[in-house]
Amino acid sequence: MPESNSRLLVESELRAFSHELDAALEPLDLSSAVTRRLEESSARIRPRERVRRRRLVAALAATLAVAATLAIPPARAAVTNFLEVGAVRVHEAPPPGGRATAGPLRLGELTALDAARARMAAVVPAARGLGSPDEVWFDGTAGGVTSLVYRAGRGLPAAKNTDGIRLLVQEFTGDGSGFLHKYLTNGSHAQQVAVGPYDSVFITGGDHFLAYDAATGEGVTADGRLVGNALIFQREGLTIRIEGDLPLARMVSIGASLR
Amino acid sequence: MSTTDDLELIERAKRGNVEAYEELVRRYQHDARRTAAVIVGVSLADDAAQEAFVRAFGFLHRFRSGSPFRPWLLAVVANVARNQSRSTRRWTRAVRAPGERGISATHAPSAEDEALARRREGTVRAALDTLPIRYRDVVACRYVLDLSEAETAQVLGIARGTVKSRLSRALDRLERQLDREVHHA
Repeated sequence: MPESNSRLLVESELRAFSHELDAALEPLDLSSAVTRRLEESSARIRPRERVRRRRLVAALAATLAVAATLAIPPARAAVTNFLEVGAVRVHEAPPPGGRATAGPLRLGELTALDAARARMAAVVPAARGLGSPDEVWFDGTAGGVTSLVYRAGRGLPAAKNTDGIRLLVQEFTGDGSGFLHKYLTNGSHAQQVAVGPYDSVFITGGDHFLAYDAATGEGVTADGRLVGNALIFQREGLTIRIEGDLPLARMVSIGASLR
Repeated sequence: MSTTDDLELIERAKRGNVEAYEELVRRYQHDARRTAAVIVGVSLADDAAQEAFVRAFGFLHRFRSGSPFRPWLLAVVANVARNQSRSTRRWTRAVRAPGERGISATHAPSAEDEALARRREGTVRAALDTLPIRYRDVVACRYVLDLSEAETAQVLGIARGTVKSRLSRALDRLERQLDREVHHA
């Protein structure tokens, strides 16, 4: 059988599934049931609640920014439950269920910088001595995430729980409400700093727990991982997260050099 | 139905207007049910689609205005369906078992033709079941759900180039499997 005929047969068979699906699905209108459930669960007011909550958080963040730095002690009886920075929400509490174990790092797919830039406005550090990233990864979920990976060399100290990665720069697009969650565990604390004109949060002092929302934001996934120092800030539609065992000044320098 | 209409409905729904969202459900429920069906099977598809619509309403504030709504919604549906699917169900079994239907023909087939067609059909299905999930998902999006390349990329959260390469590899595998089977027949 000629190859083209085989391909046609395969495609024909695949398309047949589509028609079978239509035939197998009984006519049904889900709209009433969905509306009923939304009303029963009071979900109809959620968007408004979220807008109000985000405004509250924004107001809180603005208030906090008045101070040059703000130390949030570990395990403090919090006035606020969380601090939002772009796509990252920093919780002043252990992760749900109290779990804090090292889990996998999720970066998406290995790609090239140009390919990532074709999908989103990714930026790269131009800090002296850092050079180009060893790897560029892209994850298309939640609006797009580009991850720049730097491994050994460049004077970067080894960092724990990063799969051999010594410096990780992650850039998130989207409206970014809670795509990433950071939970402060014992010993860790958040400090508000400035990266150029941008307000930023630097987390250090101990392990903190990083958890991911599912692709479209359906709650926090079960697994997370423990990370070391992290600098988080938002600039021009991107949420930037820099992770590594580097001092604050070096991380701020890297963050400010993003081009 | 114009895209502008969708945008208006989405903005109203974002402000908590359930009636606007109900209209969006009506517009996209067919696609949502089909998407759920290829992941959890026809029997569970409606529950999964309904659950996805409820959750998507809560996530609407994350939807970027002006971007395509359909792939965003179907990504929610796919995630909900995957979470609900506790087994490693193969989507080719969602509709029927191999051999239940002959391949359509333009002429009245002989008994031998029918037997060969059933064999080929069964081969394609068997080969589909052996494909890695990443390939099978792309095949399902493109051929079963009839999504565009860009929509497939968005629903699966991968680059368009990856959609192309995975689809090409998947079809190559299916084709080779079919050729082998036919030559041995």
